Order: sequence, then C-alpha cells, then structure tokens
Amino acid sequence: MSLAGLGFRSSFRRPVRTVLSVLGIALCVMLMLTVSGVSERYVTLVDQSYSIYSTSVVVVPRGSLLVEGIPLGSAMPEGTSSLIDGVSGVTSTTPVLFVVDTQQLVPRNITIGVPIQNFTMFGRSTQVRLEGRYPTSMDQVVVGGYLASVSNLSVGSTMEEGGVSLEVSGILFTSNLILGNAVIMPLETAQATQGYVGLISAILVGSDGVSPAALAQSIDSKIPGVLAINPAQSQSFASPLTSSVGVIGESVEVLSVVLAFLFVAIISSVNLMDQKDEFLTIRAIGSSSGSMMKVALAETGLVSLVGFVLGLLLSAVSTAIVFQESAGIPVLYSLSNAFGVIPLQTMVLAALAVVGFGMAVGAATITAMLREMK
Amino acid sequence: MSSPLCRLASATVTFGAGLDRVVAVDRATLDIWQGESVGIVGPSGSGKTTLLNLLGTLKPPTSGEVFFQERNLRDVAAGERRMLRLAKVGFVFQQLRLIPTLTAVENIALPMVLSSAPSSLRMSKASELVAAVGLSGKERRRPSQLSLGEQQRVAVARALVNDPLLVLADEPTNQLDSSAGLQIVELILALRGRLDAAVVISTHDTKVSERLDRVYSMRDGVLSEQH
Repeated sequence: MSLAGLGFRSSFRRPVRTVLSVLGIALCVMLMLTVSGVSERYVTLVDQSYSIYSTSVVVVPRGSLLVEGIPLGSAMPEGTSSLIDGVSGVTSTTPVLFVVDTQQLVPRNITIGVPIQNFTMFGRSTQVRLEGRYPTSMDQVVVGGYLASVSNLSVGSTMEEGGVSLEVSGILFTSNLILGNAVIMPLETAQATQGYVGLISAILVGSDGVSPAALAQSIDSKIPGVLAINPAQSQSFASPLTSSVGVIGESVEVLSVVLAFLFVAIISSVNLMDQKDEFLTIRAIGSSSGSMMKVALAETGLVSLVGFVLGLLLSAVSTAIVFQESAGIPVLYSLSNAFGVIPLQTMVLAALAVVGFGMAVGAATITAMLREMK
Repeated sequence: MSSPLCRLASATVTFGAGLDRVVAVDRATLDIWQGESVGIVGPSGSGKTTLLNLLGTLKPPTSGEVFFQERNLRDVAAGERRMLRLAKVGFVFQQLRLIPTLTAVENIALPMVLSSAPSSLRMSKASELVAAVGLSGKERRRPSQLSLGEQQRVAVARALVNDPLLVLADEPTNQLDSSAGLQIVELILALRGRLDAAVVISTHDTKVSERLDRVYSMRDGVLSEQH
C-alpha cells in the first residue's frame, strides 16, 4: 500500500456516493463534449459543402434556396451554360444537377449529375480516394464511401435508380460529408432517372484574367434569371448559419463546463472533508503536508478521471445518436470514428477542466485542513 | 542515563480567552525516563489527553517548556517536530482512529508508509507485529470486521511499528471490559519492553495503574505524583 493507494481506497469508502459523483461528472463531460462535437461537426459539414465547388464562380437559378451549398427549389435550362460561355473571361462551364432528399436535416442520398468528361473535378476539390474508376459510359455511377458502406455497394455492384439499372464503377472515399452521401452519375443519366430532362441546378464557371467578383457581376448583368456567386459570397451564405450554430454550441459548452466545475468542486471538497478524522490521524502520527496532499490528489484525481473517461465514452454514443436523429447516419457508423467527431482540443480542455480542477480543489481543501490543524 | 527522555518544565496549556479561558494543564513538571512506565490517572476532563499531546509534540505549551532528548521543542521547527513524532513517538489514540479503508496489517504499517520505509521492510515488520498482538489470520480484515479488543490491538501495534522511544496511550482500556483492558496494558508493556521504550498511559482504572512504575494523578489540570 502506498500513499496514492490510500487515496484510491478512500474513493471506495462510500461506494454509492462515489458512483453518483462519477456519474455526475460523466454527465457534465458528456454534455460538454456532445454539444461541442455536434456543433463542430455541423459547422464542418456546412464548410465542406462549399468546398465541393472547385471553380471560382457558381451560377445558380435566381431564387434558389441554398442549403449547405446546394441550390434547391428551382432549376434552369441546360442551355444557360452556352450563354455563360459567351461572357468575357469565362474559360469553361460545367453544368451540374443536384437532386437532394430533403427529408432529413442534413441531406443524404444526394444525386449529382455532371458531364461524363468532368468527373475528375471531384478529385481536385477535396481530399478524396477513388476505388475503381470514374464512369466511362452512361450506365455507370460513382457512389460516396458512406453511402456505399451503408448500402452494401462495391465496385461492380448494380443499383437501380428511376427504373434504370446502373453499375457502380467507383467508390469515392472522402471526408466531405456531401460527397460521401452522394450518387454521382453522368448528367444525362441523372436528368433521365430523376425526371429533370434538359434541366440543371448549377453551372461551375472557370475563368482567366478576371477576378471572381467582377466575373460574377458580369454574369449577373448579362444573363437574366441567374445568380452568380463568387467564393466570398458563398462564405457569407454559410457564415450566419455556422456562426449561430457556433454561438449556441459555445454557450451550452460554457454552461456545461461551469456545471462540471461545480460538480467536481463540491464532490472533491465534500469527500475530503468527510475524511477529516483520517487526515487528522495521519497528521498526528507524523505525516508531512506533501504526503497528505498525495493522498488527496490520488483520491480526487481518480474520481475525476474515471468520471471524465466515462463521460468521454457516453459523449461518443450520444453524439452518434444525435447524428442518427438529425442526419440519418447510423450510430455504428458514427461510433467507428467517434473520436474524430469530438475535436482533440475540446477533449484535452475537458480533461484539464475536470481532472485538473478536481485535483486543484482537492489540494485547496487539504491546504485549508492543514491550516486548521496548526 | 543522565537525562530524561522527555521533560515538562512548568508547562501550561490554556484554551480560550477571558471568561472562557480554560487551563487544561497547569504548570506541569514531569520527567519521563527511557524504559519506564508512567500512569496518569484522573477523571474525564482533567487534562490527561492534553498532557499526552504535550509529551507527544502534538500541542505546544502556552507557557513553560517541553524537552525531548534534551532539546527544547520551542527551538525545533514544525517540520522537524513532525519527523521526531513520526520516528520516536507512538500513539494509541483514545478513539483508536484506525483508517476504515485499510486492512489490519495496512493500518499497522501506516506510520512506516509515512516515513517512506521500503515496502518489504514494512510488510515484514507489520506482519511480525500482527503475530505479536495475537491477530494472526485476521491481518486482511478491515477495522469494521474486527472486535473492539482486536481493533485496540491493531492500534497498539501501529504505535510500535516505527520502534518509538516513547509510547503514549490515551485511555487504551476505556472501551473494553476490565479483563480485556488489562490484557491490552500487559501487551503494551510487553512489547515496549523489547524496545526499551518509555510508556505513558492515561487511565482512570486503578488496576491498570498498579501495573506501572510510577503513577501521577491529575485533577483540574494539576499534576501530582502518587507513587
């Protein structure tokens, strides 16, 4: 038995209270990390959604509702691309069709149609790894990694879309949640299977020798019925959403941190004060202040650490449940990368807040007790 | 030996101030010699515990002097007094004060843990004392799993584990019946004999005091020698 061992043993002196203390700390940690994880994940998702556009300007039908970077609610004729080709400074245009299942808060099962020769643009816009190859015929598709895993699809599988049998030629593994959920197919195939023949939702515009803002202004003025968005504008579309999610998240985080602090402070000091007689005894026998401190820190550190670890595990589960409810992402899928969801910095801060603060309160309580014993 | 192990020189301890002032020990003068046994007899509240705390360096005198091995404790820093207490004084507290989460053998070894003795040494010493106080087979029991008499034996063993020069036992028979109480006192005297330590026992039991070399009585803080 060592001094630390004496502290550990003391933690189990009142098992029910210790278990309740650990659970209280765990719940605070869970709240802290879940809120942080969910808001961080959502902000990342929104930011990522804009990164799928690798070109300088995106043209969408005027009146489109932009949700997470994807134009919803209206379409424009495919021929609009030819009109934009004629604008000075435009070097390329890529018509794209997005068809989104909007039943969920976060879209899933997104169908993206792009001209067959433009598939490689996805490789440029995000960190991706392609298993298989991009389509070489109209009946081939690329499926996002997440969708492939939940639908049991692999290269060479077939899937049915709008009554048409399609072959999976490639799986796109990416951290981008939009692409991970998507079925990407040749534009004509997407238009036919989704009922949007001759229509597109956006045009990705490449340019040379002209600033994105000036090009967007030029397209807006020359082509009726469209809205040209440059990268700065797309950020501004996203920022109100991301900042409000961030503010709400941070507020709840602060509240949960304060709650965790209170819990830890009360638990640590009450537990130690309850053992005042034992501390008096070892002091009377001849214990040094340092030895008493070791006992106290071992006890408060153990309870706080176990509470933190339990809270960490609970937060992984609760974050996964939140994602399942809001985004339809299965719990088991989220849990496979649970700790990628909660930022490392947040975990370290929570650990410092809970374990460090617990031990600091323990040290303060023992210091006060020693002063009283003099 | 030419000088006492421990000496009180007109030591006084008071608590409170003004009308609430209580004199717990009043100008006590006492020499404790190595190897002797001394009894302090008196009713509850007479100042016996405070006197033992003075001898054990737990409580400094309000006035007067306390010497331990010829050193005036006024000149000894608090840290050194603590070390002295840990190494040279063994306590059997009135309420026993065993640590409830530790086993009997761990309670006995506690002073050696505090003095950073090697693990092997403290376990062998504690095991030896477990046998000496008659608790073989019960060393893994916690205090709540022992009878009061057995707990008292653990407390005695704990007081002796660091081979102290002075053993202070505060009413060690208080919660025991007469025969069990006498057995505990005999145990303390037998075990301290091996160390040639001095023993000071506070008691109100005359049967206990009869077993000791010298007996002092204490009443209202005033100490006087009986025999």
